[in-house]
Amino acid sequence: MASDESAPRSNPVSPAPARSAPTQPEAPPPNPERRGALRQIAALAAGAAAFVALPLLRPRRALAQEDAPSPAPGGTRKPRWGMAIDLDRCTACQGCVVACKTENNVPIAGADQTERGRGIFWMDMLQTEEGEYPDLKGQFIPTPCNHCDNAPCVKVCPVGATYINEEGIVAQMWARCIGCRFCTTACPYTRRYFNWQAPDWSEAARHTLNPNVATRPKGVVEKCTFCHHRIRQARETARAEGRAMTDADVRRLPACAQACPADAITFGDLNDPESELSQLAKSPRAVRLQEELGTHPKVIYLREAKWQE
Amino acid sequence: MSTSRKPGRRVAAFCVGALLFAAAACAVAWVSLRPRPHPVVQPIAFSHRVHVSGEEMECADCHKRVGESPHATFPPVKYCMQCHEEPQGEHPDEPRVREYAQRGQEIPWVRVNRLPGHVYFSHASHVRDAKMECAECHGAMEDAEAPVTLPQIGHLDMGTCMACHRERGASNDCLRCHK
Repeated sequence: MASDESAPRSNPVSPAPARSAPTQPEAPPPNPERRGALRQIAALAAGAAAFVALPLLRPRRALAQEDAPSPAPGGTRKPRWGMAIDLDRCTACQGCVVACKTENNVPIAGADQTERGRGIFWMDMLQTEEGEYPDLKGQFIPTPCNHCDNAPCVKVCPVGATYINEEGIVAQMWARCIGCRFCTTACPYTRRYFNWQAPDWSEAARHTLNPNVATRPKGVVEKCTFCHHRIRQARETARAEGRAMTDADVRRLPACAQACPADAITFGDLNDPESELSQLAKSPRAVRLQEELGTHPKVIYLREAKWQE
Repeated sequence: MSTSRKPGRRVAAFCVGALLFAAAACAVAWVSLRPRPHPVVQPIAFSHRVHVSGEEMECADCHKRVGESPHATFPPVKYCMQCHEEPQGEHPDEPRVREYAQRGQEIPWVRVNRLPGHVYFSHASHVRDAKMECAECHGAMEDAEAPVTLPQIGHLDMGTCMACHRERGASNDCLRCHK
């Protein structure tokens, strides 16, 4: 990763400066009739500024502190699922993107719809560029849902269709969603997708749909689930074998992690200090997307080491 | 006075009558038109009573995977042939079991208990882990003379699942059952 200062604003890895305070409303023009209305607008703008600025005023917790295991009541510690993506290992082959689409019956929107921004990618490959040709530096960032501990999407859902489950997964109940798209707007990572059309499966695709993941109808929002159906399966397998689920069971559990040929994606329990994920979270390379928003994502990126320097 | 009150009473009586009629019409329409599962036709007149009560077989003898898989599964015809290779009675459907076996064809049993596409249910979790009896959901199959043509689990909705989960301290997290 090159220096942060030169990074464009859209680069989500760069710890961009806190949102600039909204500009002061313009001075009222001489026309006294419009003064009242402008005053109201100014009051509204001040309110909006306070709304935006308040979360920023909260002190940012250190990464290590965030990852400290939180003892659950009753002695049994529930897992808190998270993911680490090593950007140094990622070659942007998009294996994770394809694996995710296949595993989760994610509909293929088609070229026209995708160009209109209606494609659905639970796992997407974000591309950032720095500098100008020929001194151009590109960066590819695999972006699943961040499963924020303080998820803005959960707060805005008017019908409780999305919630943070007991294991930290930001779940989406398709059957309960009314398609208002507040959550797609609220998500600062744009990791939520609206079904603009009913899925149009080809005859071949129809036969290869994953029976463990429900297909979604037109008019609901969908998102990455951390492959929770695989977690459930792993848990049932472990129980059948009379043992507890281990880190080795979940290390490559989600489809994206399993498909990654470079082993860049690590899944695991952030509440387990011994898990590989918890170890990676302590790395000095560990960053999270747009940490300044206070969303506390559970997807941790290991940024490129500065090999050149 | 009495003459001025009469029309008001009439209107009130009419309103009450109309409401009662509408309610009755709704009830009749609901009872007669509500969506109900259609009975299916099973290929063989299989009697659970003969097998479970008569031969003292266990549910898991035929529905073998009930304790280890999400699905309870139907037995293959070769399993039926362990007993029905030789005639066991005089029921007209019994030779048909042998016909299926001779043709190398499975008996095309029709599944009756189905869940919506967004619900996950594991027999193993309930039978092996929660130690539930089959009859708790499926009722007294040992008394069922006729083959199963309708879902035997009455009123199976999310409320039923959640009430039982609450009672037994099982998780009611949406993701536990929804997919």
